[in-house]
Amino acid sequence: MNPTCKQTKEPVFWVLFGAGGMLGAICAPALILTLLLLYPYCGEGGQPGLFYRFLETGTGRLCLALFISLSAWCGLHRIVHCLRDVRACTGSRARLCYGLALLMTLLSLAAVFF
Amino acid sequence: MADAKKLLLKIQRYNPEKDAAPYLVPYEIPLDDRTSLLDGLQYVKDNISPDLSFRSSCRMAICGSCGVMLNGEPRLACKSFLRNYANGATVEPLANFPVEKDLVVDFTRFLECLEALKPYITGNPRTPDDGPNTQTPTQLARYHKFSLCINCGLCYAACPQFGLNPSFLGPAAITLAHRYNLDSRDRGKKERVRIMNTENGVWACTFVGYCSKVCPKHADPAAALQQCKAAGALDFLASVLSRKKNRGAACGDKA
Repeated sequence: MNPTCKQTKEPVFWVLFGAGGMLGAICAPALILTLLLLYPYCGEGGQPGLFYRFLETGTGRLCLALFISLSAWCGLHRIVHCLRDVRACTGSRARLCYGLALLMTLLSLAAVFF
Repeated sequence: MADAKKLLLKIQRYNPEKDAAPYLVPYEIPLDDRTSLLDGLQYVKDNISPDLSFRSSCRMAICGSCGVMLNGEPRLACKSFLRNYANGATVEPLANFPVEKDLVVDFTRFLECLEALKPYITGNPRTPDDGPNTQTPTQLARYHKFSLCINCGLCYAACPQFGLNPSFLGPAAITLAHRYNLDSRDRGKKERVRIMNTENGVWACTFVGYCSKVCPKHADPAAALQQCKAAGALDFLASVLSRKKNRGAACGDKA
């Protein structure tokens, strides 16, 4: 047996993937329910609700940016593995996927601070 | 036996010295409610086709020798009862392994992975004079589930990633390595984690989970792999923080 000795950077991507997946599984249904369904259609008398007011704070926007960026890492890491499964994953495609996730992270953080 | 129920068993035959490709041969075998697939294979060998090759030993799902694909699903022949296959069954060698003859596959790759990961207690300086190396029930419970693996190879046949990439260390080898990583008597975790953190180690797994579904002993290799990933990520973080340069160094001489 001669397995490759090359240590992988996969733990970094796996942690981001896992965090995004976990956050998505726990938060996404609640966010979709509250922000997209309940609030617009059963809102608080036309006034911004507690959650919307939270999103207007720095902490709230940072949480939203984290949610968006980690979801991007989760989805694009899954796409990389899907490409591997169909033997279509080249180094450049993987870099493109992870580059997109990085771009979304930077854009979402930029939206928070600027 | 003349009045016994009959079942049509299609068995894949292949003799690499004679045949260009594997082919299915139908055999009619008698069965009752207690007839296992292994009984059926033995009937064929004893009464119809003496040159049929298959592995078996304990007949009680302990030795892990008799793994085959039964209707496309990895199963132990001794643990599969033919009463559940009234419409007949197709028996093929375990998927993802090279076929030696008929239902016998070449396990060399799996055994090499096992050897590389050293699934045994290592690095413990205790001597017999020190007396028994006791464990608490809690310490035993940490790894007990993973120690149930019998090396049958069904999880390798079920693993799509092993099918795509035969260099993948695979579910059973990693499960057994993890079992010893969790053992309070073992001191070899560092070396195993280094091998498992390579490209073909735990990170090749995409958590399909079929390995755990087909495991005849419910050792749950998918859970072991996920736990290894968490441990591997922590190890990666620790080594980055401590700026250790142990990555890529001497990836196990035996490996």
